[in-house]
Amino acid sequence: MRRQGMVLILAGATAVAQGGTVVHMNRTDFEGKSRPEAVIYAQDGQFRMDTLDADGHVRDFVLVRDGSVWQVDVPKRTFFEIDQAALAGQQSQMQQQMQAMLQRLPPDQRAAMEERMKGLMAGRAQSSLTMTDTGKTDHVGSWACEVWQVQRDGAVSSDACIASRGSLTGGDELVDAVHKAAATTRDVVSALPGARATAQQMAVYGKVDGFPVRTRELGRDGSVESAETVASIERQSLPADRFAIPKGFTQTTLGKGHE
Amino acid sequence: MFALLAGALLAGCSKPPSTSTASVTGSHKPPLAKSDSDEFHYNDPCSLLQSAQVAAALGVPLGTPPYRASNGNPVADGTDCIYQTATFQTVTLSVTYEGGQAEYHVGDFVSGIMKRAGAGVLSDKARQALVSEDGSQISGEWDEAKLTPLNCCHFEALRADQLISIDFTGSTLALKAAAALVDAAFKRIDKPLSLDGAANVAAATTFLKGRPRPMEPCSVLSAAEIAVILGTLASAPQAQGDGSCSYELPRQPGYPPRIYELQFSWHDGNYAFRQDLQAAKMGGAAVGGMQMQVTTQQQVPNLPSSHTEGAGSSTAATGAGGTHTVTTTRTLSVDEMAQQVAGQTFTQGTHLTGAENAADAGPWERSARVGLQFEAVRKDVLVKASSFAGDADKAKRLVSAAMAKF
Repeated sequence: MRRQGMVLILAGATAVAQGGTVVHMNRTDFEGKSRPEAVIYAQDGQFRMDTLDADGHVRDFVLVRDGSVWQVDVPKRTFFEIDQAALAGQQSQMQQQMQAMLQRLPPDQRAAMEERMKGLMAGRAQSSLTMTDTGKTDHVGSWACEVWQVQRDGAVSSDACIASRGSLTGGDELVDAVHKAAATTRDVVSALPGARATAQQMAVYGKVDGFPVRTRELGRDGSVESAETVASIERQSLPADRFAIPKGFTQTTLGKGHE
Repeated sequence: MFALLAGALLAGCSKPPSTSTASVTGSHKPPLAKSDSDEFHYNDPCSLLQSAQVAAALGVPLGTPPYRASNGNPVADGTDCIYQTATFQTVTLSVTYEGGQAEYHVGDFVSGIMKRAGAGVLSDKARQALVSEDGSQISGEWDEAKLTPLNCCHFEALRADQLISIDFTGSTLALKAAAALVDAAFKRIDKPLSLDGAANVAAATTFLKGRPRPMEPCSVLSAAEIAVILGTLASAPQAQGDGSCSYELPRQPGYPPRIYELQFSWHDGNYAFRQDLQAAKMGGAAVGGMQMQVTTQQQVPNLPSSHTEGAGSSTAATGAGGTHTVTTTRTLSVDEMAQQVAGQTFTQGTHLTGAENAADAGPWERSARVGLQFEAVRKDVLVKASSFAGDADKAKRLVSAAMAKF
């Protein structure tokens, strides 16, 4: 009996010691207004990212665990799996709809549209994305970070200030979960024609050995259009259900698209 | 960066996902939570009132637990909460947690127009009918409150920037009781119940499948049933659209055609019924409240000594020891005049009081005579019967026979 009790205490202590990491992120728009934007939960390689509405309530969340990706719509109480089959089916359906739309166009307009679509698809397939360390450092809140630039097709589209895992509370837990989530996402999109850039992006993020405490979307002139900044990071022992689909939610399918 | 995890995967999509569980294509077993959680339970309009509280106000139990809705349909993220009895009487509570000021004052423009129009069109009695049922003061936990103009049963109350409105047109609920529910909702808004209106959507969807199904209007009653009530028809029943059927009797020389018409509202019958009563009441109050000057002249014997008549009267002497004429001018309303002549007011005589007729028993839950029509509601289906140059009792029997079909 005493031994059983000891085991339980040790198990509990282990759970608390491992714990999870919670990251609160704010978005600042070009007018300088800031508001809570997202919350990330990471624990035992499981990853969940909540997107918040203007009232700070969870609008939806993405759950990445056990090699699969789930999208949960909280107000509608629905969820669906984002997998290769679903994405491929969706893309095929979109192509069919596009073809049906093209058939309704006059011949000259149809030819022009088909030509434009070919160019678009070729561009997507050849699109390249690189992430490079600028060698510059910065500070975001109390975190020192290194500035990386994201270039899409040769043009700088955003930058990210990456804090090392060691400098972050629960950094190991967080970065490991992000790597896993990025790898899973990359696998899901890799089979999709036209999603090359996304797959590349996931691969790049999966290699960064830290966490972006600030990400900025940049305009063509280099101006900051919006910024996502880490407001706080804390360690918490998270319940298993935090990485599960809430009770009573209904499964749907991505087959018919998503808004 | 992380928006990619959600956004990039779904980029280029344009339609919401299908909600058909039968066609779910996910290849993995979803990781479902093992316990209930209130992590996502907030701003739920159903969490402000106990079910029993609303049932008590309605006087009957609810037919299904309160559920979130939008435009009358069960929807998990709806901003309305619907309370429904087993016979589909409906009360809708809507809550605006932020931005209530703007929403509340949207109606001010319409209200202003009505007030201005009311000065010339509606009598004081009609205006009073929009505000209160029994004249008692209605108060509660709000800064401002009002009834929607020209609507008997849509009450809105504003506190700071939070707006709670209740639409009880589809029920028998009185304004006083409805306002009391809004008051109770405000008192609970900062500490809501755990009652989850989204979780009750599935049960509500099943419950609503129990509504009577719409029928072709001329197929509701058989030829034999029509013959028993009306006798032989001059022609086959004629359907007008999806909702009504008319029956014409053979013409008699020198008399107008006798036509009976049955109208069906297969949805929101309680709502339409109460709106009809309200319209009748307003019309009746407007006409019954109209005032006119009535002048009467009376020959009365001369008195020995002179006297003075009251205001509004004048005396014309016709000679000593004889009689004289007393002219009296009074202001009477149409209702008062009808009362004197026929023993009942104009609005009573024309069935424009807006009152339900509890004594008119039949296979229905509610009934009334509204103008020349008899109408009744059963399971939220409204059936009206009108008779042009026909027999009002036969019209009522048509409704009764139709009601027995669902």
